[in-house]
Amino acid sequence: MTVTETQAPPAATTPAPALEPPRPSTGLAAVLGTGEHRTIGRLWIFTSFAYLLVAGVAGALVGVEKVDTDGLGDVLGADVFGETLSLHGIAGTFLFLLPLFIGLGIHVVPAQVGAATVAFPRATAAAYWTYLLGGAVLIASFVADGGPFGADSRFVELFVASFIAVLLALVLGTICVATTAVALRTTGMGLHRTPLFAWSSLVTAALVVLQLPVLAGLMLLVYVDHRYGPTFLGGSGGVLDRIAWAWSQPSVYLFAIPVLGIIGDIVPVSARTRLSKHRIAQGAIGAFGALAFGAWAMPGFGADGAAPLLHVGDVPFYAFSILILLPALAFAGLLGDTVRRGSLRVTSPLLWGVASLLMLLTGILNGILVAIEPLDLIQTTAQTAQIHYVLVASLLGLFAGLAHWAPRLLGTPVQEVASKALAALGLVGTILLCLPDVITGFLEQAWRLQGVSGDDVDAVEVLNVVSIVGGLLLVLVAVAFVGLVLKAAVGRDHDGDDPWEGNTLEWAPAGATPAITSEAPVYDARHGAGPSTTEAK
Amino acid sequence: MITTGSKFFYGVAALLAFAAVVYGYASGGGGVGPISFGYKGGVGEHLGYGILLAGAVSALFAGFCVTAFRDADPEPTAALLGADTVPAATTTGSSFWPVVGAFGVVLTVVGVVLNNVFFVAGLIALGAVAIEWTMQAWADRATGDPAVNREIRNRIMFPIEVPLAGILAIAIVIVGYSRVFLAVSKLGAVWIALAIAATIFVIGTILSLRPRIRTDLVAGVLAAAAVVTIGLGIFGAVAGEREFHDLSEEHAEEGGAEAGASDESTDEGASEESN
Repeated sequence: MTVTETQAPPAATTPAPALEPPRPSTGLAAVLGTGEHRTIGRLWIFTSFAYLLVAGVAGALVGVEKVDTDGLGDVLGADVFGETLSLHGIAGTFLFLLPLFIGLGIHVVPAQVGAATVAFPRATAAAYWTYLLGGAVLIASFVADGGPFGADSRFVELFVASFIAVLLALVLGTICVATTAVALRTTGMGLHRTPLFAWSSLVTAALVVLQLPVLAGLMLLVYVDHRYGPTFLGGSGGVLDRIAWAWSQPSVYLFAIPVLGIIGDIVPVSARTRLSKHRIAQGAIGAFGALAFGAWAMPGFGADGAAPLLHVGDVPFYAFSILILLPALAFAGLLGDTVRRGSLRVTSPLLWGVASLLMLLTGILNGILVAIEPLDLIQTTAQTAQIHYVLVASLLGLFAGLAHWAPRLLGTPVQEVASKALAALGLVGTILLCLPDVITGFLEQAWRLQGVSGDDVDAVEVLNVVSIVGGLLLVLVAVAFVGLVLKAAVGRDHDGDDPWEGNTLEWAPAGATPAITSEAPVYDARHGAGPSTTEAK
Repeated sequence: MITTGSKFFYGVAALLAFAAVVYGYASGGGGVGPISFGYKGGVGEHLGYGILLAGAVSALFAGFCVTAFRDADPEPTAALLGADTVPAATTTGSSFWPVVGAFGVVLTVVGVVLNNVFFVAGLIALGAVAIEWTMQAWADRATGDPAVNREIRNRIMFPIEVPLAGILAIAIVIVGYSRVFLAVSKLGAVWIALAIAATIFVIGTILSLRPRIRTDLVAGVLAAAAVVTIGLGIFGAVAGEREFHDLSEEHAEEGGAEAGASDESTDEGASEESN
């Protein structure tokens, strides 16, 4: 048999088809799947605006109750008042102020330290979506008669659980910002040369990481107590006491730390010079942060769900309350010296920043008064005023940051004239909101609907009306400024020009990153690389 | 050299150690106990002293770490790598796992309070996210070419994802529409089934008639269908099942009646017989 071997002709070697590169997503898919830090930063910022609206409306409702001190609780009812007050506090701090700072940090800090992106961008995105959805569930639980003072126990528990999720999201978000400042700095930028906002973000993140897990752990305890009682934490009515320490003295100053960094970046730019003694400014912010640590000042566990304030009157409480004035004053002094050396140009970010710093200093002074036990101002409206001074100062400072970085955030600046007017109105509104409360505190008006124990009811009611007017003015100012930001955001979606002639790296022209030999590299490049502040000192 | 970042931790360590010693003496410590960590003499109140001292040790450790890594400054890192400069960090590509993960967290939170089904679904979502996120993070850095990275990832994950996605889709359809069919009347269920079939037929016909179809369009249609199915299923589950006549009881009653009738006839027969 003959076997014929057949051999297949050699196959022509055709090159493997090139793999198609991944197509970038568009539309909603692009937003849902984004890992781009500027987009994520804007998402944090705009979402925080929505929650600001919730906090403002809740605050207005709380204010209405104070008009008639005889009929406290008549408008909303005692429980609904408690729920609304809780919503005002939680939405204002944990759904607005901290997220707004995180949004600014995610957008600005990478550019300030010369990084291409934020550290862990997907974790940043996960933190944002958890904050968004968790915040929505939290507010829904209030609507369904849950939250502190809520009557429906299931939704009280849902509030606690969703609040824990929000807290964890905030911790994750700040870790991403802090890691960017620590680990992604460009060549030449030591920690001592980081811009003050990036530095203050690092200090804030350290405080958040130390403090918010404590609050989350406490909320876990509240959840277990409420769900699997018998309760020893006072049921739903006791929940607010377990949260309120986070925005009371000294923890309340946590929200103001990034504001120092923002103002510290704005003032030298407005003064067209570099900051005096950058390292001392960093030290002042660090000391302010250390003295803002307040997880130790939470209420104790008393009988029948009572929350005794064991720290009041103790030496640490006095020390923290008084000493925090020193770094704040030192910082203000450095800024004053910078202005003195420079050539001041009044911009809207500067006005917002000055208003913020003034209110912060006033709040610290108010806090010292509250801490002095013989004055008996704890749990009076004077303490409410102190909390408002510091938190509204934080709001004004963050608005200063938005106005300052708007060309980078939104592609175009916000309207200067309108922004300046709003900054002035914001200052007036804050004083009108807080100063009457300080006075009524001395007239022994207790906070949270507990009535007036003195003989000056008429005077207290008049002052309460003035305070409400101030609060409403602030709400209007905030809404109008958000409107300005949204107006600026429409139409432009790229980094705009530098209208301020900024000093730090985020203002460097694209593709022309200067050598970093000081904390103000763009200023150096513009004016010729003179001696750095560090060396000049 | 002590770096800027580590100074903070060293300062905190010194402050806490000092606080621990002061607290030890203030709370009843004796001799050199608070200074010698209790080696000779008491340290006073143990818990507070322990916490402060543990804080000091932790801060000291953090300070050492930060010093060792030189504040994470790029120059020492570059020197360690033997490079002139550290390569710049690259931007991260698109990923849906963060948003799915957040959804899983919130579903778990809602579930742990309100409904065990949501809780389990949330945990499953979180497990899936953990695996997928890890896989994507690895694949993103597998090579320098994003297209090759995507191919590598797909070759590993598609054999797992496609069957699981198929099972999930089938489960959604079965559970979702069965809730609807059980909630509406008998006739309503027939009409809804016809409407669903007609919709699928029409959409399928339209898609098949188009010479080219964008992937986004098909994905959008399928996503919308999934949302509608899940939404209808939830509404159906909330509405509950319609009232059913228990056929076994009917049969039993009918059977009982027939049996009774036959008994009567038997009795009658018997009585007739007896008569």
